[in-house]
Amino acid sequence: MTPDMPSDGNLLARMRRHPVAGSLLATPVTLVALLALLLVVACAIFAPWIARTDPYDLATLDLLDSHLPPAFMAKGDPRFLLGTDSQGADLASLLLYGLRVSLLVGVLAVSISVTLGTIAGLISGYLGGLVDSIVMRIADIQFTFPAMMLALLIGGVSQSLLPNDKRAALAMPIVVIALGISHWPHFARLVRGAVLVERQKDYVAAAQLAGRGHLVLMFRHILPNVLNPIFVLATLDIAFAIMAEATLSFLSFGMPPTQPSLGTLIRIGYGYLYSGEWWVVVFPALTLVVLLVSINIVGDWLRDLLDPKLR
Amino acid sequence: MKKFLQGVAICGALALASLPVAANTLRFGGTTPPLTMDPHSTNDFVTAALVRQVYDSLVGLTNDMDIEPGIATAWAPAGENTWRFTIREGVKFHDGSTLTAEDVAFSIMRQKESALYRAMYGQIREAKVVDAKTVDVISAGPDPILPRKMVRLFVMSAAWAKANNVEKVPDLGAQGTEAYSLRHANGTGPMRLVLQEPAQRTTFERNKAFWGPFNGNVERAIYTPITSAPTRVSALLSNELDLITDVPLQDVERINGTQGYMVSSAPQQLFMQLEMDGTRDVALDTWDKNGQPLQANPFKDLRVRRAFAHAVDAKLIVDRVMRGQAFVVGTAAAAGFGGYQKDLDVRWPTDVELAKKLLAEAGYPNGFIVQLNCPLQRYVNTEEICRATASMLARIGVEVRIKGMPWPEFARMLVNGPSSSFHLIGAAGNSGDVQDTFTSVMATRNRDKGLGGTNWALWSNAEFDAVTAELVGTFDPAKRTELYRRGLTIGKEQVHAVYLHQPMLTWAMRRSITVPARADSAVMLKDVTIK
Repeated sequence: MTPDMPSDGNLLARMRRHPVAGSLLATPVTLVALLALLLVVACAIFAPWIARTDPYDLATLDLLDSHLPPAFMAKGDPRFLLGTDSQGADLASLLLYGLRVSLLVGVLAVSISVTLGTIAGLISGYLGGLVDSIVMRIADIQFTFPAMMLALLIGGVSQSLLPNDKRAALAMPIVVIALGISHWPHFARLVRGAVLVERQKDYVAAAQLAGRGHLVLMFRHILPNVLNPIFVLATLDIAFAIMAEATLSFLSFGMPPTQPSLGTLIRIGYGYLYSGEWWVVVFPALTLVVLLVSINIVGDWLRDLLDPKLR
Repeated sequence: MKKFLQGVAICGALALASLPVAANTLRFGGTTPPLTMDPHSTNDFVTAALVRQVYDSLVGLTNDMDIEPGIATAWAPAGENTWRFTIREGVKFHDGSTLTAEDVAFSIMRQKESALYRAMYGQIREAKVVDAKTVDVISAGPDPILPRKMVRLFVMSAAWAKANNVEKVPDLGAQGTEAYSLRHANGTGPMRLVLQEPAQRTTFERNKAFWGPFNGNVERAIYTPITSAPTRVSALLSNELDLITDVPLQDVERINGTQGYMVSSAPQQLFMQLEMDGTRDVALDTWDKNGQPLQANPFKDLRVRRAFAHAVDAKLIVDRVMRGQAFVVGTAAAAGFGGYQKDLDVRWPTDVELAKKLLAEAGYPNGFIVQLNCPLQRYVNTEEICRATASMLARIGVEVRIKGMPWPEFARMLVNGPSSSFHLIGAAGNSGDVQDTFTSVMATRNRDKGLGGTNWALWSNAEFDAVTAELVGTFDPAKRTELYRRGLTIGKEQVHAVYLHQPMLTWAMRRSITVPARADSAVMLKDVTIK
């Protein structure tokens, strides 16, 4: 044993002193949630390699395999760990692909919200005056609408306007845009508040005196200083977006059964609640719960970590 | 003290008021509300099933879908194009007036004008009152199955219609149509309409003066529509309803296994089929495997049609998708249809290799891509049937793109086109006779002759048309059987469509209730017994 290799005890002690690792170790729940989240995200990213079958490839489905319970049950089949659906598709593979769809929709929708909201908030907070009033009143008007209703409206209207054969192909972009638009005011408000504080600071005045333009000031000087709260809100908002997508899909305004998200799987499984084929609805629902809870816990932890006022 | 007595009195009154409700009231539920109480304005089968409780049909319909005397006690041909109906005497309408031959003639002419019954009764020229108990129905040509068609001809009081200004059938299609007959009724049926609350509930009570046998003991009945299937099942299991129709197939086992409940089923008067474009030179929504639109119609090649018939395993669909609640069909008819031929009802065997070979011979060794138009709702488990079809055809290299459409959109697509070269649909003769299937579903489309009105496949076969033309004018039963057989055989040999199955309709009820399930989905309240 070389002297400069710390013993396990020392490593633990050093980790405790480290701000990030230390706060993780102090709250084991967060650690578990973070691990669960990493696992789920990894599953989603590597779905095509992990999944036993490609549920989108109809030629691989065999109706003879339909309605099979999970492998650990009496009538289960070892090929299908979590059982099969009414068409003989492997539920585990469907879940992995559904997770991928749900996460992708969540992340993309939040990116839209963040982009729209940050730009609006920056401009509004930095310029102030009439521009500020107009942008913030628009945000206020949208706040009076429940975000879910707006998403339903956008989803429903675009579905009825689109020709039928384009619907499946455009389902995901529509859901993403609907959810993205429905949540930008949260970011706009947050960013505007932060910008109002930053604008009073000396470094902004110094940059102004140095003759920097408005755009450079906004994006190069102020933006980096308001990133932390945006980051925290975005993390928490992914959970909202995933849940909203599941709700939309459950009401059949979201993803179609050919590219099922977790919400679509729950909607399909809901029809089998009475029949005793519980696995079709329980596994997607459990996955959704694990995903949302872990994102929320990790998001809270990030907020504690990044927000100096809470430290 | 006074207040206390008042309270007791109120309680007593309430108890009394609730008593008659408890006595033999049937609370039943189904998928959709009746569209109207006017028996002539729609051919929607849910509506017809409810209207049948209040209005009697000219020719009766037994629980096994046979014809029996109804308002007419007898009928016989009287000359080339005429049928003579003898009208039952002493039948009273719910308002107390006596039914006359004029009422019958009025009802025939009123219902025949209804847009949705034109296919069925459009050939009728005149309903002539011969004497107080005789009505002659004169058609444009000979019509051997007219009495069979009259099971959907509901008799209404002419005087009542006149008094309430509904002598013409109200047009349901127009927005916000309101007419007296939509919410009120005056028939001769075993039940009286108490209250029709559109989309909420419909209340019936027993017609004490009913002319026929009333086998059950129901005094009152309340129909509640519940669209969501799981909600309907829970309404039954939580004792909000005594009987529900259209039980989701996956719940049959569970309900049968629940103490005090049971499921009963009957074959529906309908069979499911995959229809393929038989006319167009370039099929719609078909592509080669590179995604380029096909410049041909593969379905005009019999080998492609045969390949599809061999590739789709109807038996497996019945076992897995329909969970055994259906019968495989091999010809354009199903058990219970007039003219059904049991020995001919054999499907093309499932044979993937043969199907692939046939496709290759037809010039599609790698298959092609085709859009399958799929009606959602309406029929049982259609979405699942379409998905199963897609995975079965994928095995012979045909990539199926499913386009699911809600029923109204699907129906519009057919009626305004049909803009489809491949779709799933339920086919039936309205009257339950194969002749109707021949003339409306399979005969070459010809608006002037009133043929092929629902031939959405655009299928056309000269030999078949000749058989149909002969059948329509033939009265001799032996000759008719021979023609039925020839027609059904041509349909199968030429693969008019990929025939799938005849679904069962399933009802669930408390064990204390006895009622025969009927193929036309009607819960005959007069035959319901509550223990």
